[in-house]
Amino acid sequence: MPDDPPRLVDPSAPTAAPLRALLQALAPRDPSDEADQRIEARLFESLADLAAGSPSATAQPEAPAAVRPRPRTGT
Amino acid sequence: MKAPMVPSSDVVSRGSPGHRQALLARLYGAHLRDVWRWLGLFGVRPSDLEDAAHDVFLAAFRALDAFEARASHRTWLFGITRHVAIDHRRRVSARRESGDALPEREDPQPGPDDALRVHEARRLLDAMLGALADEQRDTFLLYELGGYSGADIAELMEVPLQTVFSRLRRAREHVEAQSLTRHEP
Repeated sequence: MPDDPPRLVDPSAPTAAPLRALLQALAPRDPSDEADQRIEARLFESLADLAAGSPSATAQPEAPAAVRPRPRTGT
Repeated sequence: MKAPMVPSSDVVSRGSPGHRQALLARLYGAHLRDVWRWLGLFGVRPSDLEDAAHDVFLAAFRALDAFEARASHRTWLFGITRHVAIDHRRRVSARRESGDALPEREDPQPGPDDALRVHEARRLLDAMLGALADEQRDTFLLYELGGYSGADIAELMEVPLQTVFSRLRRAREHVEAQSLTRHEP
């Protein structure tokens, strides 16, 4: 299995300084504990609404087409 | 007090609402960090990340019955996340075009100067990536910004490792050329 090449932000990579700085500025962050708790609480509310058949819950986005069952092909 | 997402009963039958809810809770605990990172990498604004992450897991809950175990739950969530990110970006773009755009809320984590710097950097990178195919752009973002390994990306995108490296090489050539053009004195 081939090794991963050095990333453009790696010090060993011959990356032009402006591009390196651009990529370094965009390093992703993890969610805070507070964000985690807010999302989980909202998700719980949405599940409760779904269970109760609330119109607001039915307004939530449908599962994307990519995750719906694929039509069977062949026999 | 935070509402517990897992049902209090330990005994839940497979396929029942309680079982699906318990499975969603496990998915959430195991994969929120990845989903959050993927959404950010795929261009969801920092101030929209909480909404988008909620939408990903709600869409996953709705689609749990369709999960066919031909891929891992993580790979399956990755596919959902890509589509939710596209939907969010489209909505923001449509609001902007209709003049009904919501102002970008300040990202609560960095200071306003940092948020502006990140916003500008992202705008510049998006312009540089604009001409790439989606698969090349996503591979570049996952590898160069997300820090994911080639093997991990191959699993997530369900392609051979050589395909990942091929896409990455093309994307790099394009980005480096664009960077030279934009940063020439």
